[in-house]
Amino acid sequence: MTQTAPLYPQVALRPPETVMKLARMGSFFPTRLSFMRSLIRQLHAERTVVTRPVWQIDKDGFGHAVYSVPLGGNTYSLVAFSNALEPEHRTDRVIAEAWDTTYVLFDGVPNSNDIERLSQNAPHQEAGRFLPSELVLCRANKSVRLFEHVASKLAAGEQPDQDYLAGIGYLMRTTAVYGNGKFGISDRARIASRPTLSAPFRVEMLAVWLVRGFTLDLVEHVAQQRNAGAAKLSQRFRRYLGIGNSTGLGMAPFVVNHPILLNNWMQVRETALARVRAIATADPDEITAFLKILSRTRRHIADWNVEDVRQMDRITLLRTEIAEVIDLATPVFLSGPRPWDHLINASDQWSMETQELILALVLEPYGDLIDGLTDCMSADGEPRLAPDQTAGELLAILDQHFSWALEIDFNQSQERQQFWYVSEEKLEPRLGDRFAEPGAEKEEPLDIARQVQALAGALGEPGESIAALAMRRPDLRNVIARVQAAPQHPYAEIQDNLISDRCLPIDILRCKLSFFGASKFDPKSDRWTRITMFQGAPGFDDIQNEGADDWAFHFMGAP
Amino acid sequence: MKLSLNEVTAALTKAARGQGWSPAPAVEFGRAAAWLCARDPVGLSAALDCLGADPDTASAKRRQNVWQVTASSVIAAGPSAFDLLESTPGSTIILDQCDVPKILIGYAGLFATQHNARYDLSDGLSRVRVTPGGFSDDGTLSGTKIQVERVEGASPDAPDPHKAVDASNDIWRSILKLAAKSYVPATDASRLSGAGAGLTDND
Repeated sequence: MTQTAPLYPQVALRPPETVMKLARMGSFFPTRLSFMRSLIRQLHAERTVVTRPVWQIDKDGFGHAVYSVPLGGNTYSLVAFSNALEPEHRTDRVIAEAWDTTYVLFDGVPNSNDIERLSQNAPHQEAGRFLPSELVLCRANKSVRLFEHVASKLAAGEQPDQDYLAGIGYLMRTTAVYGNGKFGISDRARIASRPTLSAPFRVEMLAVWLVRGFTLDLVEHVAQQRNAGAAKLSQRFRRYLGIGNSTGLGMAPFVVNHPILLNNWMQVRETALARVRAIATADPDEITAFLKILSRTRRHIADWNVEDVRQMDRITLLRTEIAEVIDLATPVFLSGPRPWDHLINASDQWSMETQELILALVLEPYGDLIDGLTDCMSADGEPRLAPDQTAGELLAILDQHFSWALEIDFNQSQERQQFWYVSEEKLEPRLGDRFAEPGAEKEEPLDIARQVQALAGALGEPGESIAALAMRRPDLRNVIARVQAAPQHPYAEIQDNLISDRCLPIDILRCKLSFFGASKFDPKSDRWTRITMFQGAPGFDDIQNEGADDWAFHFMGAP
Repeated sequence: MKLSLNEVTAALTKAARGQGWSPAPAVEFGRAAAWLCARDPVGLSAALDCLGADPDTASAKRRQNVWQVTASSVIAAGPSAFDLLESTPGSTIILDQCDVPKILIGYAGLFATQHNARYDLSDGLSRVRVTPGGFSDDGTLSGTKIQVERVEGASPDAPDPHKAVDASNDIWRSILKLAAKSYVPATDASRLSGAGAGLTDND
């Protein structure tokens, strides 16, 4: 985002030194600015009708199907393959070699030759080859017991058990969603200028939404094959079931390696908050909307249970604190001057989870004011080195923007305990212990703070040009460009040491996943998590209905 | 086989890392070579030729308005040459021993895009003009002594080709083999930490 005078009143944005800390980023909740929410709004605005030109699924639920959807004047098709999978081969690991279902998002409508070619490649995923006509490649495994439970119940003419459904929340989990040129599929640049596709991860989100619809159709089909009089899933359960996902470390390098993109996401979020905080008075409809989403969120949090002790402790505290938020945020309070600013200021008394939850909630009633900001969430490129700057000018930027990095004592071994690398096994990003595991000599350059210190130590005379500096220290070219970008992109850097023993990659994952719109964050370790996507979102049958955007913080029992 | 530009960029970056280049020049090499590969059928083989050189740094001497840039590899010389050109307006760059001039065209394209510039590259016999969208003629520079100048005036906005890269299987395999040198061998311990690890997934 460029620095121009704001069009709307806004308070000062929260500073980067507050926002860009892993502890806070790891407490983010999805907002109405998320990629899933903006996709649903787009589909609704276009009165999208999803068609299913191909359904060749056998009685056991195996075969293939095609769903087509118009978006922005183009048509995109999900080609879905469902295959029998032995239990011992079912794994969420990226190193898996077989899956229950595999998918491609196709640019247009595939003909029989396309489908035949894709049937030979999609089930092999990374081992297959694809063409620019394919935009997304992904796969999903069943939540086996829930899928069978739902199919059996429907076949018996009954609805599935509500509590069982609520405990899992999805029939299938994606384990990788590839875009942007992976394995021969289309480069993002080829399609980014199309109407509506400039939004980050737009085609990936579209693919996942279509996969969700397929899983619902599939379970009903299997039930119906067992009993022609089988029930269909209630609308309430169709809305509740999302798509699960297992998210690993791969997201973390992406966030670090795209600082301008990260800056734009963060700056949009903070600008939205700043606009809402500047609102002098809230009208009754806005207050009602806020109280409604607050109440719904309380129910959503009550549904949110995880095995991870750290996260469950945070959820337990959140449940206590949300009751205090409800006590404070009465209609009288919200009818006073600058209610949202007062509420945000009051949130300092609560945990970071509660603070960030309140941020998400105060944005909800103000779509007209902030939804347009999502147009600013993409990035044209990443930092480029400005060779005509001087070392003295660069030093001034370091002093102003990078004290967080310069203060770290890398002589302490714990400050460089971890290292990021790419494993030869399916090129999976991993994190190792520098002093206990091999491979540190092949370390990926995510040690931004340490690079900043190296740059500070390499600076020569103040009048030396950056061109000269970069020539004698080409290893510093990337960090030079990042530092130079800081004045115009204040939210570009995670202001923590990403190789210290205290760095929890899960915090980076949660931050990125919140921008995706994922909910029910369910960490399984400090480096991977399960989440649910599109839970509560409208599906193929009700995307055109009024209120299509009103699905945040869904809970079992919601209509 | 057909490759996406993202695949080409990523693999060449990793191949450069595998050959010992530090991450920053490796990334820039990947981008420059990919720019070229999108426009020149021999781009990938030229990139592979580059990867035979040992990692190096460039040095430069200035006489009046002419910079003489020396490096054993265009991976070192390329970025430095264009940095100097952009930071000293009106100057001329001479690379006295450019090992793979074709890749220098790639760097010219990358920097032309970044700086919205146009560059003329000449080996004394032929001249190649590079803009953000592409380059003139067949981009042939046969000599190793290359002169580079910035061309004043606005750059015409040619569209990106956005097409897949045709690659020979042999060349691609060679590049992937070099890229594999940048990967860390898997261990049982490292396998345990990935997404999905440690769980029975038949839930």
